[in-house]
Order: sequence, then C-alpha cells, then structure tokens
Amino acid sequence: MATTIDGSNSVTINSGSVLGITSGTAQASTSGTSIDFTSIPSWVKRITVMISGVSSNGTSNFQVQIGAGSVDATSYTSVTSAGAGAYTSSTGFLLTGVISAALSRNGHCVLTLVGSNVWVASSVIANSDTTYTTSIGAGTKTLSGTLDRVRITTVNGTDTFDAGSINILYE
Amino acid sequence: MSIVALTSDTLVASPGAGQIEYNGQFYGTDSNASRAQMQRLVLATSQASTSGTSIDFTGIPSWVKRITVMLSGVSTNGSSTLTLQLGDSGGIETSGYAGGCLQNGTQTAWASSAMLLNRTGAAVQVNTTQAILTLLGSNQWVLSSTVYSNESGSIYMGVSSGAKTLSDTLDRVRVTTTNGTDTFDAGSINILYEG
Repeated sequence: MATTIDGSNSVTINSGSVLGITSGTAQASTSGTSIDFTSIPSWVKRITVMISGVSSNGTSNFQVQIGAGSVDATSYTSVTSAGAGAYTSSTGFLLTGVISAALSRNGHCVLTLVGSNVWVASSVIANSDTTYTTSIGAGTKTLSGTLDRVRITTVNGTDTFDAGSINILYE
Repeated sequence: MSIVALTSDTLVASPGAGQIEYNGQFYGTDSNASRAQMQRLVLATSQASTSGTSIDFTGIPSWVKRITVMLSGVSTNGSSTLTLQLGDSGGIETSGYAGGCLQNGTQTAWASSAMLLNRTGAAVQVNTTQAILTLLGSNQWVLSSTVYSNESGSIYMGVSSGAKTLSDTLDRVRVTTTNGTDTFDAGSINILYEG
C-alpha cells in the first residue's frame, strides 16, 4: 500500500518502507569467519556496509557476499585495485587487494539495486599503513531472488576476524 | 497541512495538536527541523572557502546517519593537506582518527589528528572532493572519499577511507588543513545530511 501523509506536500511512503535510513545492529568482528546481517527488507534499494578497525588472523582478502534466502557465493563479477595491482573474485565483492594480519581496515562498500535482483557494488577500504594501499572495488551480482542478507567474510572463508566492528545502513 | 500518526502502513491515531510521528523515527512538534528530517536529505548553507583557516558546519541534528561533505574548487595559500575533523558538544576532536589516503599511486597514512582528504598539497592546487561519513554505531563514524586535485594542469585522483569514534553525538564537522594555519583562498564547501 502507498500511504500519503500529505498530498499537498508530496510525501509518500511506499509499501511498508521505512522513512529515512535504517541502521542495522553493529556487530563486533572479533571472532568467527563471517559476519551476517539478515532480514533485510524487500524494499531496500541501497545498502552501505561499514567496517571500522576490522582485522583477521590471516592474509585472505575481505569480501562481501549477498543472498536471497541463503548467502550466494558464486557468479560475482568483482575487481579491486590496490595501488598498481588489480585483483578479482567470483565468490564475492572483493574489498581488499592485499592484506596483512597485523593491520586493521576501515571504509565503506555501497550496494545498490539496479533492478530485477541485479546489484552493483563500489567500495573504498583503507588501513593506517603505507605499505598496504587503499583498495578501490567495484562489481555486480545477479541474485535468484530478493536480497535479504549480507555477509562480510574472507575469500578463503577460514581466516578469523579478530578486531573491529561492522554494521550496515539500508534504505 | 494535515497531520497524521503512522506506524508502518497503518494510521494508528490522531496525534496531539502540532505533532507528527512516523514509525518511531520521526516524532515531535511539527517544525522546520522535523520537516527537514522527513525530507531526509538536507542541504546546509554553502560557505565560500575564500578566507580563514577552517570552515565549520555546526548544529547537525542527532538523528543524522550520513553526511556528505562537498568541496568544489577549494584551494589554500599553502602546501598543507586538506583535512576533515568531527566534533560533538565538547568541540572538534583532534585525536583518534585512523585511515589512509591513496593519491596518484602513493599511499599515506592519516595522522591521528584528522581525516586526510588529499595526500599532498600546493598553493596552486585546486581540489574537488566528495567525502561520505556514515554512522556505524556508538558514535563511530566511517569515511570514504574521492578527490580530484588540479595542480596547474597536472591531475591527481585520490581516495581516502578511515574511521573515528567520537566521545558523544556528532553535531559538527570542520574542513581545515593539517597545519591549521594555511588560509583558504578559493572555492566553496557544503554538506548534505540525512537520517
């Protein structure tokens, strides 16, 4: 249903949508191999994944996966540039190109809905070091259904998060 | 204007005179400020960055979750890099920032005193930037930004990202330089905020 608060002021709320930006619940990325955000409403068109001070115990790059009913780990077109190098992944939206277990990462990955369950991502992720450069990423993924979850994990799926916090905004 | 109270899709009650509410996100006296929140995207007043050592935006509402800081054609009279600082009711905070800036293929770590918007500066350099701040939670703000620097025809593209946890709710942002003494001499700066 569409509910108009005031027609003369053209404020319309579509089909259960929440007015404004909704924040998920921040999760400490201090253990586990993945951080999930589930029950994302069907009307969402933009999701901002925020990572702050996040590190793991290994050197596998960070990536974001999305899903409809379950997390989908295939058929991503994703590339990240880090300094002079370019890195790709088909199992997620790659956030970093090179990584050190000793360093923490900060930044955003913004997911937007193109339409027909096609999502595109862009990201900027940095650390506080000069050796490992800021990573710039982009990618696309078509889901089989309506997105309802986002996962932050590593490419090998086995490195364990050991610091930081992660949250999402959706709208 | 007619005023109603909503939760999700359902009209639930008539609010008191002059009050408006939506789904727990929006409640209070119907005013310019509350209507601004309903509009979601609020443009502050643009400031000319043609003098002074810093440009402040204050009075940012507590409900804000995203701030876009925009610099258009900004330059200074010196070579200090451009920075962004956040603050709360206690003032601008000058420690605890962590991040990195990559420009023209070279990486620089932020100083802990501010968010770095460009990696190198020059008096002839003109900078255009879009920096996006989002609230992760518990006064923890995350930044990512892009910058285009034109230095007498030499173009330097850059990106920056990092985070800062404030001691209280954000209510202000400041654009300044690393040394804090270089003076702005061109351009304009503004913010968009939304919640």
